[in-house]
Amino acid sequence: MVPDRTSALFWSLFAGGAFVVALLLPVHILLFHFGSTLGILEEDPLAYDALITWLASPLVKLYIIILIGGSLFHGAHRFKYVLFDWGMTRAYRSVGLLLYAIAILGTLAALYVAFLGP
Amino acid sequence: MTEKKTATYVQKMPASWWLRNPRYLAYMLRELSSIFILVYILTFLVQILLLRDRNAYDAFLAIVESPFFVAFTAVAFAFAVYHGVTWWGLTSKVLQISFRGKTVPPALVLLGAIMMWAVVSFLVYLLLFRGV
Amino acid sequence: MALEIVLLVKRFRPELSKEPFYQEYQIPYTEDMVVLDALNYINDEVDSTLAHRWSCRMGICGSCGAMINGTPRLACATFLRQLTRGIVEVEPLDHFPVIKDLVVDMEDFMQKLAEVMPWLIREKIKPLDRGEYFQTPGQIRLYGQQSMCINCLICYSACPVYGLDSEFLGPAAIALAYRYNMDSRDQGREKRLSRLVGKSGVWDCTYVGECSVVCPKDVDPAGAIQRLKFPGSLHVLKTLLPRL
Repeated sequence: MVPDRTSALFWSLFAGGAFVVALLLPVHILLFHFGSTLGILEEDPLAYDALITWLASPLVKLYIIILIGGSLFHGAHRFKYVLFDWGMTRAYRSVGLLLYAIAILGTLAALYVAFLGP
Repeated sequence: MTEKKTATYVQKMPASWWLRNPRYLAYMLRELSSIFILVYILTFLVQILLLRDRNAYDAFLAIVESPFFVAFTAVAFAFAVYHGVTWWGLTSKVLQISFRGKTVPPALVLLGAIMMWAVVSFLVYLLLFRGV
Repeated sequence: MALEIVLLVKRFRPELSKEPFYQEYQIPYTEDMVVLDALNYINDEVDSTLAHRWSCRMGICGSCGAMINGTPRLACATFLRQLTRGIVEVEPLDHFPVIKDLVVDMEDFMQKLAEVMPWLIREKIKPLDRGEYFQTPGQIRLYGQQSMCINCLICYSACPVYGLDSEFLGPAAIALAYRYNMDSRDQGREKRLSRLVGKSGVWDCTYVGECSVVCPKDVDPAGAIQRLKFPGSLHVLKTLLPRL
């Protein structure tokens, strides 16, 4: 039988992404959006200057590529199957390709921010 | 002899199938986390892309820090944690880790995963955010 | 006064009507009755037109699966006293075409079962006089759980993916592919994988997990399917590499 290469590829990216999301996204949202309110961080990391300084670190660059890429491929694949679960048992494949395209473009954008600056 | 085609009744699944039992509902919530994760991460991506223009960034930040969006972010956080909990739970069942010829019980693998989660979260704070 | 119980049975009689209907049966109840006993009582004493499949009465043959109060279960392994509701609702297994009353058409599954080649595949078959293929208890443990499958189709009725798209290979067939792929005597791993990574194979499963919850033999098809996805993606990767 002809292997379903597209599904195999995007499942692998989904699984890797799911691991990244599980590991990093909760602490990311907590610190970024509630860190200063809760008193964990001294200043608001979302302030313009703070974010510019933050993004200059090589470790942060690697972190945002992994976090954004992982979240996008994870979310795109899973949402595609939500459409299936809601009864779009034919259309979910073509909408899925659109979602994967968004994930690819988003990951490229993250690479752009990391290497060429915002 | 040709086989006679018998009349059959085809059972259709209702679109509300995931309300039929609590496990289906928990599954659907797990899958719906993807919408919140997608919207959140795309917002974050737009936010760092807007850093090239200070005025545009500050205008966007005002939206991100508005009560409505903070409420959305809190829900997204809850879904991210829910995804984490379910992901470690399922992974610990699927991975069959052998140690000295015996399979490590999934509960122990889950405990290890949760501990790793805590350590990595703390490392993210220590290495990436402490300097801010 | 003798105790009684009410069974509400979903019936389909194509010779009478194109639409299914529900019929109520009030029958004597004893504490040791399973749902299958109730169905057999109805068939023997009350209404001989009621059609249902059964054979062993002890959870081995896998013929008496039905939706019992909305959950797919073996009628022979479900005690009436375990069911909390006053009326016991019995319906044919979900997602399958109904032939008559509780009898469903299994043809689709039989075809899928053959596709995953659930038998030992050997490159060269050892002649009988050379003896048997040996296995250690540890090697048996790798697939023992999945070898318990009795093809009762209860997992298919619990699977929303199969319910939405009956092209999906489904829990039991994939679990059996896993069972043979994990067998040290087998050499057909890549052959089975090539079916599993194809259309409507392992990639359609979203790990709802209900198949493993309802399985009367604790087979865990959901776990087996996820464990096949990684070797499956490596198999696909191999098909992309030039043959050396």
